[in-house]
Amino acid sequence: MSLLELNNISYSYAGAAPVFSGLAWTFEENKLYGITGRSGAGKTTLLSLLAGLTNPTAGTVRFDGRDLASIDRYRYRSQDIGVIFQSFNLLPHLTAAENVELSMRASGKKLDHKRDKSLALLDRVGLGNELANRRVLKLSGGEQQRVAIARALSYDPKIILADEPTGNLDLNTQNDIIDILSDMADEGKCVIIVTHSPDVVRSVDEVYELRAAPVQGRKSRRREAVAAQKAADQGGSD
Amino acid sequence: MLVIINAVKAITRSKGRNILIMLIVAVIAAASAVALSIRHAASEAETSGQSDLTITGAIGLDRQKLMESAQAGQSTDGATQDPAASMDSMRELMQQYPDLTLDQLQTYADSSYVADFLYSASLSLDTTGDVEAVSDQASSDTTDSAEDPSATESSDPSMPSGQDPQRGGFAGGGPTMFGGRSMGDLTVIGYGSEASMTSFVDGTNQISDGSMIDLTQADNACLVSDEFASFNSLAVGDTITLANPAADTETYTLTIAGIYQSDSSSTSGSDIPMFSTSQDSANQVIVSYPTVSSIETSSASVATDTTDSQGDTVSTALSASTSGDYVFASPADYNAFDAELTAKGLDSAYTLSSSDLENYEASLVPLQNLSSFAQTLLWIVLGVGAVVLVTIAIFSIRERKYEVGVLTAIGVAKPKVALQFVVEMFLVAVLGLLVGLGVGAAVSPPIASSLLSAQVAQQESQSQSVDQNFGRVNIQGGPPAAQGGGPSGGGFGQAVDYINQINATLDWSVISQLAAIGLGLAVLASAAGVVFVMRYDPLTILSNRS
Repeated sequence: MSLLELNNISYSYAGAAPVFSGLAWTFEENKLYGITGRSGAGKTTLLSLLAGLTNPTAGTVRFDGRDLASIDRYRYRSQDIGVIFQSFNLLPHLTAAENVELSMRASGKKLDHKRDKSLALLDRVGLGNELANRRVLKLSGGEQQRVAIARALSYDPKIILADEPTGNLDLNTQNDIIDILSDMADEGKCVIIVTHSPDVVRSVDEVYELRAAPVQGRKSRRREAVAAQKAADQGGSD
Repeated sequence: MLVIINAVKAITRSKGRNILIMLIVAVIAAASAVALSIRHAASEAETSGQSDLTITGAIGLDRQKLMESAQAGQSTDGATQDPAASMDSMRELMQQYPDLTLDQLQTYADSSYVADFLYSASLSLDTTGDVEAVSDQASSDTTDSAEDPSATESSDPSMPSGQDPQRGGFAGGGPTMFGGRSMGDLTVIGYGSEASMTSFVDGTNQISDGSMIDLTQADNACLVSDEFASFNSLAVGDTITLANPAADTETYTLTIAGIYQSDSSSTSGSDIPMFSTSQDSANQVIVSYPTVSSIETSSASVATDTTDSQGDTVSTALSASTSGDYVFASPADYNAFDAELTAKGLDSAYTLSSSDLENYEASLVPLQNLSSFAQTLLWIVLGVGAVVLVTIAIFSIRERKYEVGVLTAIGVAKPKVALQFVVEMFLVAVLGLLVGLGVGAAVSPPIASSLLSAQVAQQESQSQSVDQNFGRVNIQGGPPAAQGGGPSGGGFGQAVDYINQINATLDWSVISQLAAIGLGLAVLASAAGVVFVMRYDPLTILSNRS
């Protein structure tokens, strides 16, 4: 059963032509999705629709079978979906750990030992104690990206939305981040990545491409192929 | 919990801005504390003054109104007003409205608003034989004085119960006529009750020899002043014979039952002119009201008619002047009684008046001025403070727009974000309020005292200026109220004891009002922020930021 479903959605800004229209995509648990498209195709707008930050001008976005327009979207954003924004959207006056804790508290979920969990999450994305207790303002772009990922994971949402999560990172870190997101998908989450990166596209289970004209998503199974190739390589080396 | 934690973090993060807000709230609170404590203390002082106040009032002719009626009558009769004609009209009107009788006064006294009714009647009689009225100047022939046709007119010899006239000035011989009555050199006052003898009740007069007379009996027993007794070598048990000023063969013999000493005899040499020795408090002979009635009745029975210098027929009968004072427990009772008099049919030519109430109201003027000033100060401080706080709050929210966008984007509901701003403002306001309360509590009493002293001094200066304009110099001779708390000069010789001390300390009433003000300001300031927060769209904020 699909977790997130786009039913012929369209979106247009006031007085302008539709950014996209007729999208009918589905997103399931336990999968890593990629959304690609050229600049201006509406990738970030689509992400906003999926995040419940705005409404489509036509069609519906359904979460767990319910129309997003009819549910408590604060609750949806704070519990069901974790968004990794392209510009991170962290609170600069807080430390990395405090930003993560803030999301835990905002979720309203009963989470014990928030401090320990936030430090563990930051450690998982490669930020040790020292960086975790540093104000976000004093972290590099890549470090802030990791904080944003840790924050999105902190309250264990069902869906993870990532807008260009590797855009500010070097190749090694890029791979680390993709691995983390892949692991999230393997753990049962629905992970959706908006990206330009061919490397990322190669790593996902399915890809949807946004075009100027009404499009139908183009699915791929590259990740499985890549994984199979990796397994074969490892077997060969052994 | 999220709201509280975020609010506390935000406060500690923006120390500079929050210290500024706290200081503004503290200044508003301190100024409000001063203003509120002054108003509260003024109100308390007024209430306290009212509870301690006993008001006496009397019904008398409304001369102002009669004069206006007389002048109005002239205006309708002719094109121009003739002063002499107006005075004739005035006299006619006054004859139409004689003084109310004791029975009439007692009828009105039967009211739930009247705490007591004090009455007295006075007669003007001449001394005879070796007895003479006390005088500062050389003794004159008092017997002849009654016959002196050139004697000047005097004020009404009747004295309000318990109010001693001022002494001094006039030499022996008394004037002869006033208002159709002959005037002697002694005033015989008959009191209806001990309560009406207010100069004895308040300790101005004290019986030093002999005993009190029986006020219910027409026994011709009397009390005389020690000055009068000493002047005439009189002792308790002696008798004095007094004559009708209009008929010197008509005499009355009184027995001295007691001699009293008075503390009010120090006004000798006052600037107030005296027209008759009968006005001197030393020349007051105190008897019972029935005694005065008895003398009046006896006089009427032997009266003859004579013709005065103007050709009018005048009776020689003694006519007592009756005075009735109503006692009220509060100004409210006084006002209610005034309204009741009209309802009971008292003619509009008569009016109820009270110098006590006028003095009391005058004594409150500096306090009321101060209270009014405090209220104005309060409104200005609150108005300016509210504008400043709201402005700071709006700028603060606009600065934190991004924070609002992030919080709402990660799922914090807008009302919660708004509540966070309210809590922040509230916490800072509480701190400011506490600081302001401390400062206000410390400075309120000295500021209130200083301002009140200035008001009293200003009021005294105005009164003295008016007195000087009328040629009255230091009539009361009292020290300035601001310095000693004593009586200070009021208009027309009335002593006004201004309230010159108030206790402007903060009590729970003021503190609760301040808390309400602080809370109100915090709500007002954060309300502006709430409006902005509720209008913000997280997607727009974050897009603009990107």
